[in-house]
Amino acid sequence: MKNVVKKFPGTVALKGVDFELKKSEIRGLLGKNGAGKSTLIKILAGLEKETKGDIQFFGRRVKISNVQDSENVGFRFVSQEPALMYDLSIAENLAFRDKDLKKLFGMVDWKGMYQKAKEKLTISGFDLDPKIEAKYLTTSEEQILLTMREIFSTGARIIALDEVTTSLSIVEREKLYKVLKHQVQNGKSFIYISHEIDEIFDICDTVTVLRNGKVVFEDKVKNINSHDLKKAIVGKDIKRASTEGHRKGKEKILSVKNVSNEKLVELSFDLYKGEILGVYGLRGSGRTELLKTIFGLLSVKKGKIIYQGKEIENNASSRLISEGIGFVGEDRSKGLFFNRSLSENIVISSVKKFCGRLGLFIQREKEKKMVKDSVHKLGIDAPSLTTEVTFLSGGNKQKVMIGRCLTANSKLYLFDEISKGIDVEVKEEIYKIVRDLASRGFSVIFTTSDLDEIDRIPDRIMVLYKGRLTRIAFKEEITKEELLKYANGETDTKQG
Amino acid sequence: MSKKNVELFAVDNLIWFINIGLILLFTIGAAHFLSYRNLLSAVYSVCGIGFLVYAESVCLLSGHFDISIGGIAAFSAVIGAMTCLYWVPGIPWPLVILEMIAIGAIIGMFNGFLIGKIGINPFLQTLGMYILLYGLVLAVARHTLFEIPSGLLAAGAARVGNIGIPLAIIILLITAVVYHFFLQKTPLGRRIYAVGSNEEAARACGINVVRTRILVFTISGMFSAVAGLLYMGYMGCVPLGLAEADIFLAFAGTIIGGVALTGGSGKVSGVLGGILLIGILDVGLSTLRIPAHWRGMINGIVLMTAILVNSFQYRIKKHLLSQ
Repeated sequence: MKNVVKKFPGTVALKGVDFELKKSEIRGLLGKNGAGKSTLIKILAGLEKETKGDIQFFGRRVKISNVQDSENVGFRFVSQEPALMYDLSIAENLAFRDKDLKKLFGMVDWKGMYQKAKEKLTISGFDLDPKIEAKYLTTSEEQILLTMREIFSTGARIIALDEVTTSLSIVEREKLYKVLKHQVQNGKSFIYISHEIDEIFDICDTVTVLRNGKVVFEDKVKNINSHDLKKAIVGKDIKRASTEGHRKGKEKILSVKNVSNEKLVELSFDLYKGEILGVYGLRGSGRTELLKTIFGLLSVKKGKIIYQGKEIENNASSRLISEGIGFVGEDRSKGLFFNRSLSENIVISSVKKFCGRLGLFIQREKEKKMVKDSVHKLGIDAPSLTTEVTFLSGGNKQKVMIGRCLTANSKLYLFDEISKGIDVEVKEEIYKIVRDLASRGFSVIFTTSDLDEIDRIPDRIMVLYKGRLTRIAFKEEITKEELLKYANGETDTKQG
Repeated sequence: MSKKNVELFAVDNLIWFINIGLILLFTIGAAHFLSYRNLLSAVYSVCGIGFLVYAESVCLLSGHFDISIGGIAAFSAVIGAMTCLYWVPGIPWPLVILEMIAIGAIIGMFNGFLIGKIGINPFLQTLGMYILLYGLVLAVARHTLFEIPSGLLAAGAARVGNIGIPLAIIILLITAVVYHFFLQKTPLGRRIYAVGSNEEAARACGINVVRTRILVFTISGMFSAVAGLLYMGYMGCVPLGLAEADIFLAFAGTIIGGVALTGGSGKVSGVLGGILLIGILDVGLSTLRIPAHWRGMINGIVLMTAILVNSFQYRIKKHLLSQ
């Protein structure tokens, strides 16, 4: 790929990237979230169209304008979201991508299919029965099956693997590495995306680091050490942001005491009024689950959570909303009512508040006033208050979700990856909103995997790794290198 | 209002423009179509089905659907008729009407409980209920029930005022106003839209999804029972197959009225427009003396076209808003 530029409305995701992959090479592709890794892959996969630039396969210039083009040149892509036909067997799932299967008069050759599936599984060292339906597999087995399907698919020459190992155990990883190394000998090439630095040294030959849409580092893995790599990812020249922290009261609003459940392990921390706590961690670290547990969407198995002096019960979300906890989830598609109006979306958590004395009917004037107020405060840009939310931009959608918590008079805000998929400008606006909330004495817990964000917004930082707290400290006490270290599982006994 | 706002208004109320267009077409075809009597009978003929459309629409708004609505109408009508004819002769008719609505509510609540709480697929649950109810109708009534007391028939048969407006039309319109008010102005109405629009988000907003679903089916059952009452008056008797095939028209009317099959979107004014479309078509085709054997086909074509036009709504709206 040469000089690839990709512009999105309001932001430039790739600013002239040169990317090269040799035959029989495993190249690590690293960078923070939003650095442009996934945009680069999406362009190759035909899911996005480059604004400018050339793409060449084996010296031949190619045009990839859709997924079919990408398939034809031999590009394959495995993401973290398993897309399997769950009611079909492992063998059938594998067969969809195998055009070499013999077919007699267009009929399916079942025997051959099971045999080939068995072969593929044996080569990979995974002991699975090809006749089992995919819905009975565990998450990690699904991920393996999906990866195998693409690696062994007919005509595959370049395979991009996007954080496929997050859900795998060490043994499973080793097996996967073996398959990759074997396939490299057969002339296939891999683009390997991971947040785990150690993995890069285990499996990759070369590495490319992207930062803010540019290639900032490129070398053979054997020439470098993990310290160099981390520095390249973070970028040492980034200035510390000028968001002054309000380290206000000593009044506790929330105490999490020794909480354990499926995803969290003996987690303890306190949150004070007017404080912003940033939770940093990689995918699978339990950061989303932490927020959901506080909000009562996931149950506490052991330990307790105390909010304003009272213990939070399981499944109490609706009561918690009225007691002042607001939750904005990572996935806007799971939080918004797309075909309902902006106004309805904002008031839905607190409709009772807009009812008259009898509490039966909603008073339009009251509602309108409140919504107008929120829209103004948050700077939501919409044609009218009755416009359906589906017609708003991503940033405005996110603001609508924040507006909902504001309208419900929340005192504790739980924000999960709140700036994900939002352009730079709106991101800044949202940061400002978060800061404003804290300065008005409200508390915020937000999760992120963006190092820039974690450096700028919170008063304190908490790092999670596989559901465990590895570090909690004021943001001045912790460097980015340390953050990465803790996020990758190194623990510290000092607790801030 | 700017041009854009006028266009947006037109897109949001497409069904009424379709209706006006149809009336114009029929008037061109036969000038006497546009008579007071004709239009009145167009509306009168759809009062029973109108309530089935209300019943279906409240379910569709919540993201589910109900196939048993015709069965509920027939069963509650049979129970009402049997009560005054055989079980409790001489019972005051308002009590019988209350009894019918209560039966509709109970059956609906039962549907809602199994679907919302236990998690049974709404198609299977209400299909089973549909079969069960028409079976019960046959077992309880055995034959068409005649000689129903006039008090019970009045809702569907009586006419009021010196111009003779059918009482059923007044009931249909008043219910439309109440229904509209309920959906727009009460917290429950808002929750129905929310659950239909995005169940998961509704849960995250602290809405009790199970309770909302049970209430939706209860309301749907009550609407269906009123439909049974109006059918009974319109026909003057209770046939065993009352409303048996009307589920299809009820669906068509709801969808044409702009209620999204996927839930969460639609309004009462549209639903009312959808109901009227069915009536206008019916009366219009007979005014034009279209032979009965062609009417089914023409009905189908018009309904499909209306649905097609309506399904462009989103795209047109998106286009208008992005200008």
